[in-house]
Amino acid sequence: MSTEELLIIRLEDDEWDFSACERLEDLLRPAYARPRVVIDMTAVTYLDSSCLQQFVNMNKERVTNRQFAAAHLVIPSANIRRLFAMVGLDKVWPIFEDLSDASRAFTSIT
Amino acid sequence: MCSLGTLWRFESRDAHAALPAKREYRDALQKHVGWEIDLFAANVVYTELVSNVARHTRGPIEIRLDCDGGDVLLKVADQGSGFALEVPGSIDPLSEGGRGLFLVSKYATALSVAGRRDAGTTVTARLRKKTSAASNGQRQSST
Repeated sequence: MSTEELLIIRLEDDEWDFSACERLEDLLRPAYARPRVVIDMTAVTYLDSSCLQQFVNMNKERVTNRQFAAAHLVIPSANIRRLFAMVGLDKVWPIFEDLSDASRAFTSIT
Repeated sequence: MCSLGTLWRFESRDAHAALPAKREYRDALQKHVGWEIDLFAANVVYTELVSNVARHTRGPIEIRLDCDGGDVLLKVADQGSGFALEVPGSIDPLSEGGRGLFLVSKYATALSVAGRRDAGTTVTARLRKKTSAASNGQRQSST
């Protein structure tokens, strides 16, 4: 697989809290080195601040250190979208309601 | 108005054990009479306060849910030396930490901390009512 191909990472559990933080870090790590990444959070109903920090860490490595575009996030849950907005993270990543839109937005970039 | 008093109590010598108890906490919230609690907001408040204890202090944790008149109060007590309850009005999106207490302040309608030397610290959060706007992801004013 080319590193230019779209990488989709699915968070399959519904709740992500402090106890799942390391697992989330492991899941997101492949995104560090890939320019086009979609994180599918369709199943996610809860995410705490320690897990939000893992997304910030990912962004730092991808965007700040490697100059990649921000990952696209798929978040259908109004509660989770509101959580991201509450701490200003809705301005950091493009957020989509479904996977196809998030993927298409990347593949339309030439 | 709910007059059930203590809805739920959880004690453990290890604060990490309190995170999996979240389901019992939510079950207890459903027993509340009079108005429906915003369960997502209640989840945020519980998880952030308990995680904070698990990260920063050693020793036991005690969690209580009390009905106090028309309010539902979540009280998280630990053996830590306490902290200053200084919540910023806004937060840098890419800051290294600081989001937990900020989120608690947004998702609870009131927040206080009390501590006594040799007696640990208790953080009390007043839980939020569920409203139709809340379920649409809109911010509600305190009640």
